[in-house]
Amino acid sequence: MSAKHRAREPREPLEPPESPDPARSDERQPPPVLGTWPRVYALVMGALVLSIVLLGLLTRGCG
Amino acid sequence: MRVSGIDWAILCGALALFVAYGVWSGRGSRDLDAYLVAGRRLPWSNVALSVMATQASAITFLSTPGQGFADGLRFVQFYFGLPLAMVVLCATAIPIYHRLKLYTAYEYLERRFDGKTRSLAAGLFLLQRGLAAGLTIYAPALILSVVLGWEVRWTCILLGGLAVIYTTSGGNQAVSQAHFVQFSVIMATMALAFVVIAASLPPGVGFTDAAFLAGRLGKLNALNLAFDPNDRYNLWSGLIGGFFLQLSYFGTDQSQVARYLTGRSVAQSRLGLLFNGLFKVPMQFGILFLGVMVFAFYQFTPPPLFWNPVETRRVEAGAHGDEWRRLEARHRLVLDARRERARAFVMARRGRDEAARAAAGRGLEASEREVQALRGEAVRLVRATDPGAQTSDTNYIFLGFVLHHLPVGIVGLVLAAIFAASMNSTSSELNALASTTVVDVVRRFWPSAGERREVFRTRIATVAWTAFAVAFAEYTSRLGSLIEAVNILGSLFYGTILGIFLAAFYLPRVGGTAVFVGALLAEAAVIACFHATRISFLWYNVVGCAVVLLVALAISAWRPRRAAHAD
Repeated sequence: MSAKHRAREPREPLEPPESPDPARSDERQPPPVLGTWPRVYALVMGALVLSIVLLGLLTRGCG
Repeated sequence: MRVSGIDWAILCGALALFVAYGVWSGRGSRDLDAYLVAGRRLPWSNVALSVMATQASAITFLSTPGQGFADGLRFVQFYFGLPLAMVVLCATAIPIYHRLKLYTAYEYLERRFDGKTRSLAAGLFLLQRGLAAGLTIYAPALILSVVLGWEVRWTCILLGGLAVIYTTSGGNQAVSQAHFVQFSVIMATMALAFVVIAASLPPGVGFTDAAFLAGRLGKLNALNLAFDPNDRYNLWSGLIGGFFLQLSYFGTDQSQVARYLTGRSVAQSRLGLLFNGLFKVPMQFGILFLGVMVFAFYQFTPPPLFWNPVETRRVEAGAHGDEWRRLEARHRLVLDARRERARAFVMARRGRDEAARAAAGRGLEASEREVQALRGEAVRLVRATDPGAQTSDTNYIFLGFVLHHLPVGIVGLVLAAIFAASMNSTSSELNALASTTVVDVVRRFWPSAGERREVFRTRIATVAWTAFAVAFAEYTSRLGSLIEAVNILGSLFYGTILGIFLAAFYLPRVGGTAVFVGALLAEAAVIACFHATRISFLWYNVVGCAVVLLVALAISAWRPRRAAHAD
């Protein structure tokens, strides 16, 4: 089929793209407890724990 | 205290640029979406810096270094609960607020419960934040006016006036964009000040020496593991009490909720809050450590006997002037001895003789105790001269250091950063107060008459709240003891408001009336704690929240919520 001929073919209507936004996907399934970001949350909490440990070491090291 | 012509030029130029940029970036904000939530199209970087800029007021950059100087690093524990609060809000509140396309957090409460619960929460917010807005203006204005010799009234008007120009003109769009620029300038200036302080240490004294010296004198006290409910700053009050405070502040206070409602998606808003969660603790540590470095600097350079220049001049000219001058002479001798012992400590620390190192440390501690004893006598003379005088001079330490020891040009930058910090938090508060007034109060009684009219009403409300905040700031100057009460005002209300929202998020069987009654009883319980106990104010958040939830659950168990009520 030539490109010119293909250009005249009616296009199939496209499905609306799936939204990557987790908030909208909640409408079809129960929201998971931590959303889709458990690794990011763990990183933030790990940074907090690391901060506390480092501050504790600072207190002991330079006191 | 000297402020050169170059510093004034930098300060005035920076302020003009900040205000002009705010007005320019907020242009075209004619509909409610643009005016109240910046069109919900900002990236995570804007959200993050806006969230951090709103919390970090001028007091953060004026008082916190002074707190590091006087009390060490222990205040950093106050923020340990913040990252956990950010995680909880990202998981719960952000998806709900975004999905419902809210303008204010309190709109959600009417959809979940009823109108009276919404009105109660909005009313508590307007009361608490309205008074706090006055303090946000007054506290830095007082410090700046004392140090620079300005009238407090005109300083309050200047601080409020600068913020209201672009806040009224461009709404949340202008506020968020201005935050991005101003907070970046503030952070860069503080980093520069830190480098200059480290470089200003005397020859032969390095950064590590200064840190060890400060540590020996108890300033690197970052972690306190003892559980004491009467102690404001320890690991447990920070992790638990601080968690509830930050959860309420970031989840239910419109001045912060409005910041992340501007995110263009749930993901962008989450990233913005989580950035805050990652960098808030290091940022506060950095600001406190700035004060610790100033403390180390003054081990080798004579500091003033009392940092508040107005009170110092009053004592010198008063009945106790001669006694004050004799005290200053003794202070200079003690400082000379402390300087020598500080040098000896630095030299001994580099050596391998443990006994010499221990002896040098004990000598330094003894000198520091003598200095503190003389400062105690100075405070006694200040109080004897004027019984109503401010005897805490912590707020004037950092600015005093800046004006006396930083180079020309950097002084102007630091002053501009302090003004920018004040404008950041004030603009957020004014925008939040105005939007809550219009959306949660005015609209309910006078129905909407079109988007442009709503925007106009919000502009009027912004100006009105600015006038109230400046007027209250002026009034606050006559009520010394009220300042302390207003300082903990947040914790008197945050716990109750948080309890209302947690019930909304997590207790589907609880209805509006149960929560409403629980909130009233919770507020009574918190006020009872305030009057009858000595527990740290951080724990009020836990008390208020717990009482709301427990009472609401009990009432719901006794009188189940009607099934027809929609979420």
